[in-house]
Amino acid sequence: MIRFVCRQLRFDVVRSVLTTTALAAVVAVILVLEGFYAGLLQQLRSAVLDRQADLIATQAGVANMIATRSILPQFSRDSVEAIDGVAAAHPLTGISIIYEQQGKRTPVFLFIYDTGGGPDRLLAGSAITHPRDIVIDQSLAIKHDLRTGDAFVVSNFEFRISGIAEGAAAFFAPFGFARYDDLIDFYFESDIAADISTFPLLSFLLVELKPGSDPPTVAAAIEAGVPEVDVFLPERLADQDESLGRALIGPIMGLMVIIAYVIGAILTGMIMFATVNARRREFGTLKALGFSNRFLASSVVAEAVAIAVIAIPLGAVLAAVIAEFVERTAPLYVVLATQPGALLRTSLACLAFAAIGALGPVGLIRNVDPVVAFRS
Amino acid sequence: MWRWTFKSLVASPLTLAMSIAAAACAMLLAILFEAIYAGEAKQVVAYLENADADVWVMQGGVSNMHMATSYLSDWKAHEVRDVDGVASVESILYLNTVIDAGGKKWFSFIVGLDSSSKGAGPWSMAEGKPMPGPGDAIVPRVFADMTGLQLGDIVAITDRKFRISGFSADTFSMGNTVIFVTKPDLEDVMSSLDIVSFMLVKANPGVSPDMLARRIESNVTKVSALPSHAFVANDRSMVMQMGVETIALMTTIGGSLAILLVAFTVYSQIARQQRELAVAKALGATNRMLLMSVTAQATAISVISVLVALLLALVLVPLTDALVPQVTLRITGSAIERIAVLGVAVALVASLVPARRIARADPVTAFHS
Repeated sequence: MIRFVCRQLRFDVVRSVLTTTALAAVVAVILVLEGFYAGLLQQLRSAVLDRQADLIATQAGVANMIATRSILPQFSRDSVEAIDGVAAAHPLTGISIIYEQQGKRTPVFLFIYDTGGGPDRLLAGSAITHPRDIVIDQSLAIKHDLRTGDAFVVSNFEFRISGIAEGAAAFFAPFGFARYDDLIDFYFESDIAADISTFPLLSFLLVELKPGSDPPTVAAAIEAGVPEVDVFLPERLADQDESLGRALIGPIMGLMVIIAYVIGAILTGMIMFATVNARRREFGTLKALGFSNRFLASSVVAEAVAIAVIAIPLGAVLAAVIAEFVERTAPLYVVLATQPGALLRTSLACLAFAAIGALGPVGLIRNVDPVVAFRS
Repeated sequence: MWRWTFKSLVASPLTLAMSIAAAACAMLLAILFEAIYAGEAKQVVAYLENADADVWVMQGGVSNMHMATSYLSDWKAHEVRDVDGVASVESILYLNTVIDAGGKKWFSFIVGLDSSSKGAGPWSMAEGKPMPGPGDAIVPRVFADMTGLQLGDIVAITDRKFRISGFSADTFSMGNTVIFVTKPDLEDVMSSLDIVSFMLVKANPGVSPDMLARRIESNVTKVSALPSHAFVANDRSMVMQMGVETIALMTTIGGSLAILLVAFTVYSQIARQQRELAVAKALGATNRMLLMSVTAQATAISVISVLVALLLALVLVPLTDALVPQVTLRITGSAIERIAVLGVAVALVASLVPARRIARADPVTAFHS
C-alpha cells in the first residue's frame, strides 16, 4: 500500500507539490493567526512578570496592571513596608504618552520606577544612570530610527535615550522606562496645572519579601493593614491581564482563527476531492486491473494523510518564517507560531480534514466503471 | 470557439462546482477578514465622528484622544468661549481604564459629561436614559448582549460602583469602548478637580473650523486645537497602530492564502483540460484561440467565485453579528472590488501556466496514449 501511495504521489509530481503547498499554506495561516493571539497574551503576562516582584500592590478595586489606572496614596509605601515580612516596596507608576516624531505618532506606556521594576533585558546601551535618561523598547527605536544617545522629546520635555530594551511591549504599545525625578520635572514643565496631584504619581508597589516569608500570608497581612491597596501574586496579576487580553482581543482573534479553521477545513476537503476526482480515469484502469474498491479507497485516504504529513511540517516552517518576518519588520508584535498546543491542534485538524476530504470521493471511486479506462 | 469554451468549462460539472467552491471559500476568507478590519477601523473613531464638535481643544502638545492624557484647567473654557467665531464650548473629562461589568473586564474610555451636555454624550440609545445622572453609567448594549446585564445593574470603575441607567448603541469596539458618566463622578474616580480633558467647540455659522482652530491656538496659551476632521484622522491613525494594525497584518496573510488557493484552483481546473486543449490545437485551433479560451474560463471561474463568496458573506455577516456581537463586520465595496480584481488577475496568471505549456506542445502529443 505504502509503495502504491508513493507511486501515486510521484505520478503527477506537479499536482502533488501544489496540493501539498496549498495544504501547507492553510496550516501556516492558521498557525500564524494562533501565534499572533498567543503572542499578544504572552506580552501581557511578561509585562507583569518582568517587573520581578514577589507581590504587587494596586489601588483597591484595580486588578490589572496594563491599560488601567491605578492610583495609590503616597503614604501607602511606608504602610506596606511596615508590614511584617516585607523587605521593601518599590514604587512604580504607569502613564500613557504619545510619542510624535515627524508626523509619526506612537502610543507609549511609560513605566516610572525607582529601585525596582525597570527594564528587564537591554539590547543596547545601559540602564538609567543620569537625569533625564530613558530606556525605550526596540520596536519604538526601530519605528522612529532612534539610537542610544538620541533625544526623546515628549510634550516638549527632552529625555535622552540611555538604553534600548528587548521584549518591553504589550497591548499594542511599546514601553518606556524613566525615573521619578524626571517624571516630576516632566509634570512641572507640561502645561497643567496648578495641581500636580492630578497626575498619577504612584500606581503600583512592587513588594519584595524578606527571605522565608510566605507570599500569600504577607499579601493577606498587607490587605488587612493597608485597606487602600489590593495585593496580588505576580502570576495572579498576569492571569488577570491575560484574561483582560482574552476578553478584549479574543473575540476578534478567535473569530479570525475560527474562520481560518472552517475555511481551511472546507478547502482541504475540496483540494483532496479535486485531486481524486481528477484521477477517475486512473482509478478505472486500476479497477480494470483487479484492484478492489476497498484497496483504492484506503490508498486515497493514505495518500491524503501522506500529503498532510508532509504539509504540516512544511506549514510549520512557513509559519515560522512568516512569524520571523513579522517580528523583524514590526518588533512590537510577538508571533508564537510554533507553540506546541497550537501545532498539535492544527496538525490533528489538518490530518482529520485531509482524511475526511479524501473519504468524500470514495463514493466516486466506487462508482467508477472500469470501462472508462478504455475510452479514448 | 466560445461555444466550445463553454462546453469545455461545464464538461465536468462536479469538478467545476468544486473549483468554484474552493476559490469562493478562499475569497470568503479574504472578504471576512477585510470585513473585520473595516468594521473595527470604522468603529474605533465612532465617538469622535458622532460628537457634535467643529473644533477639539486639548492640552498643548496633545493631538489625539486615543490613549492620550490631556488635562486643561477648566477656566480655559472661558478663554476659548471668548475667541471670535466660537458659538459654544462643551468640556468633557476623559479616562481610559479597565472596568468591571457583568463579571467581565472591559477596556474602556470613560467620558465624564456635564449635566448640560448636548453634543458629547451617546448619539444612539438602545435602551434607557440618554444622559447619566449622579452615580449612573451608560454602557454599550454589547455588555448586555454578552453578560445579560440589565438596567439598574452595577458596573465598577476602579473601586467605585455605578448603576447602569442606559445602554448605548454603536459605542463598542475592540479598541474604543465608550462609557458615559457624569463629570463630577469621573472627577471623583480620578481624584481630580477643576480640570477638563477636551473641549468640544462649535463654530459660528460661516466660520471655518480650520481657521477657528488656528485662532484658538493663538488666543489661548498652551492648548492644541484641531478641526474635527484632523482630530478624527489623528485618532484613526493612532488606533490603527494599536490592534487594528494586527488585524490588517492578519488580513494580509489571509489574503495571501486566498490568492494562493485561487491560483491553485484555477491551475488545477485548466491543467485538467490540457489533453483536450492539445486535441483542439491538433484540429486547427490557434494558440491565440486556446489562450482566449483558457483566460475566459479562468475569468468565469473567478468572477462566479467572487459572487458566491459575496453571497455567502452577506449571509454570514448578520449571523456573526448575532453570535459575536463584540465584533463589528463591515463589507465595503472597495474591499470587494479589490478582492475581485486581485482574484481575477491571479486566476488569469495561474491559467496561463498550463496554457503556455499547451501552446509550446506538439499537437501530435494529443494522440499519444
